[in-house]
Amino acid sequence: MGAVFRPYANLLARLTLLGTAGLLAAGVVWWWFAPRVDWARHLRWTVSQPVPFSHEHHVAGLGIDCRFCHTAVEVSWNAGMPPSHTCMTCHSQIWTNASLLAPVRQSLADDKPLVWNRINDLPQYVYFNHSIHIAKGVGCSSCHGEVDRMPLSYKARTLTMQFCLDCHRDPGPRLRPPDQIYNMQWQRTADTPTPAALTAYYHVGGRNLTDCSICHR
Amino acid sequence: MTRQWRSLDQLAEDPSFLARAAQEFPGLAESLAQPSDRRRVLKLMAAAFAMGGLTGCDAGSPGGHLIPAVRQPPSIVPGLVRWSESMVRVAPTVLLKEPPAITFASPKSRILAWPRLVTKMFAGLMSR
Repeated sequence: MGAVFRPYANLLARLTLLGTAGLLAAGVVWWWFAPRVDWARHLRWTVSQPVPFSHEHHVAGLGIDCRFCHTAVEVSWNAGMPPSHTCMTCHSQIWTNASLLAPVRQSLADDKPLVWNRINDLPQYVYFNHSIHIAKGVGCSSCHGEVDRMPLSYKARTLTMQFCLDCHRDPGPRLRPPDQIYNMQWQRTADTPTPAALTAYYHVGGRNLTDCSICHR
Repeated sequence: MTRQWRSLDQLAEDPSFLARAAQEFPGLAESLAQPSDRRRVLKLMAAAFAMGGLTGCDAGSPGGHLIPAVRQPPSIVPGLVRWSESMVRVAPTVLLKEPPAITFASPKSRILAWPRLVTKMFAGLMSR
């Protein structure tokens, strides 16, 4: 009876052991890094939309206010997406035959809503309210980035719990004067009231903003 | 006593529908009847069940859709309730005449905030 194992079996056994160890190590590295890099959160990914809407053109170019389309942002948790009718207030007059806008015209004609792909989302166990943030001096660009520089919209901030807590722990420096809320390019300057002054002005800090129940209700 | 039903066909007691519903898995009935196929079907169902758990592994990355209205009635604000149960209890007759524009409650769950719009949107999607 011949040898059960050929000479190359030693090599094979070592390679198998090394390979298993390598796979395990790679798995651990992936498990640790995947949730910690922005790739997993689709940061700065542009998403294809039924109409390639340009915030850059409409906001920076034409000077349309955020609230013209996102009408509910001051009163509701939901900023609100513009009904097709809002688009057509202008586009029934200009670019009336543009093929890019065909889905909008079709939507109004058929009474079927446009279906946009989400770029910013929070898990269902998070309660977020736009109106209170607007009312308390947090500007759009604090969470949405410089939307007026986005030819196609993308997610500009991670919107993780860490991101929320960074501000909730110390909101003062992010608060803006009321007339700067919708200014996408706002930066804190020497003329800006101090964080303490703004915190007092908006009555922020009555509740502990890092309480679990503030966001997880 | 309220009667519970899962579809209009069931409510109407349509005999062809009732026969179909009695099979529990109408789409699989043929496969389940053959013993050789039966194992495979059960395997696939087990696999589907196991993989269903994977959908829970979502880190809140973007996905899904935003569906605005086509023409938004001025009395509806996205995200705010127009009706809540307590309102109906207090003054049902008043509400039947004219729904108030103000809201008394802000629900914690988002899906509850849009009873009418959500229904409309689903209807719109399903009719596509």
